[in-house]
Amino acid sequence: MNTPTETQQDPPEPRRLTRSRERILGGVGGGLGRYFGIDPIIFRIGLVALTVFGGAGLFVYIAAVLFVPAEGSSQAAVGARFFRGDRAVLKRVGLSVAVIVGSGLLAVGSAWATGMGSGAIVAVVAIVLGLALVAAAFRGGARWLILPALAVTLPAGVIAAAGVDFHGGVGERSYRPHTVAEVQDSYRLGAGRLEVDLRDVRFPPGDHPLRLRAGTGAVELLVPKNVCVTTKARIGAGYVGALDRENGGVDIDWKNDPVSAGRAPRLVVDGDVGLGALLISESPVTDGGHRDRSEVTGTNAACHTGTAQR
Amino acid sequence: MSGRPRDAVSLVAGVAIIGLGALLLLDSLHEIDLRFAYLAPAVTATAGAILLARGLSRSRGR
Repeated sequence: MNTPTETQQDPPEPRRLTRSRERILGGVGGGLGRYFGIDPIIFRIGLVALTVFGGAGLFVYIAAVLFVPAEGSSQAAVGARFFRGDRAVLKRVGLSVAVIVGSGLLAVGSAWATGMGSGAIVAVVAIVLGLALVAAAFRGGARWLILPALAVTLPAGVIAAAGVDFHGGVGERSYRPHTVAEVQDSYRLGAGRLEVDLRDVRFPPGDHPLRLRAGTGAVELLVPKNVCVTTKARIGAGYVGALDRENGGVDIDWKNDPVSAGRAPRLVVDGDVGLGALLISESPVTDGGHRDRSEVTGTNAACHTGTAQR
Repeated sequence: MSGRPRDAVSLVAGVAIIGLGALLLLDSLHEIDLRFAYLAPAVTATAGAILLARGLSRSRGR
């Protein structure tokens, strides 16, 4: 005869939200999926979308990693132990914060150094960090070094690929020459906004070269309507709008080489913007109330024909 | 430094970062013209290799 205690089954354990072992990063998506009985990919896509559109997903994810315990762990979540003053957790959090803050500083420093022309030094530092990682791999590993090494390498890579040059200062520069003699051959800015307004200049017939350089930011060139504008530009990542033509994206090599109509003067623009925009127009693009973009930018009517290519 | 590596993740990350550093060095010495068209696949491959090594080392550890 069975006793009542033999026939009774243990009550099911209450569902508990934990971070899954089946993880891509911290096991948050997997844990949420198991808790709600839904495919984890739904939560992963949602978290990525929230991170991309507004950044909230990143904060939610970090909070979940800190305050949701790991699957199979008898210990409370790291965040709870931190607020209880657990020394081991405090030490680990302190080291993590130091590595993250240090990596951020390294990222800014390597980007700045690369933009100032010291890319070779940054590259050697990256190679040395890589060699240190390889050497450490045979002695148990040093994964904490991966983040600082990437922090040195990736921003420098972006700056180098965009061709950013920070020489020329930072801020907002505006030039409005009134005669040809006042027009400089070259205008340069490291980061910020550079405006060159040539609308008051009466150019004589012939070619007039003009170089525009900016590391990051916007370069706006305003030209008189009676001038034919030819443009050669390199944009690392961003946008180029030269009168009635435009292009955007990365690695933009822009060329528009029309011929002057009659004896119209020709402005030969050589632009180079690392990250940002180069805008050439006959009126400031901030002017409102125009129905058609070409009413603001102009149509390069002083030229015969033109070709644009990326 | 001899025998098998004890941490494949550090090894793969180190090799990948050496590769990226070499690209940066060649660009700064004007031997190549580094563009996003080359950098983006290199960075993606680096991230993929590190994640792959991490996943494989975990599955071996089980």
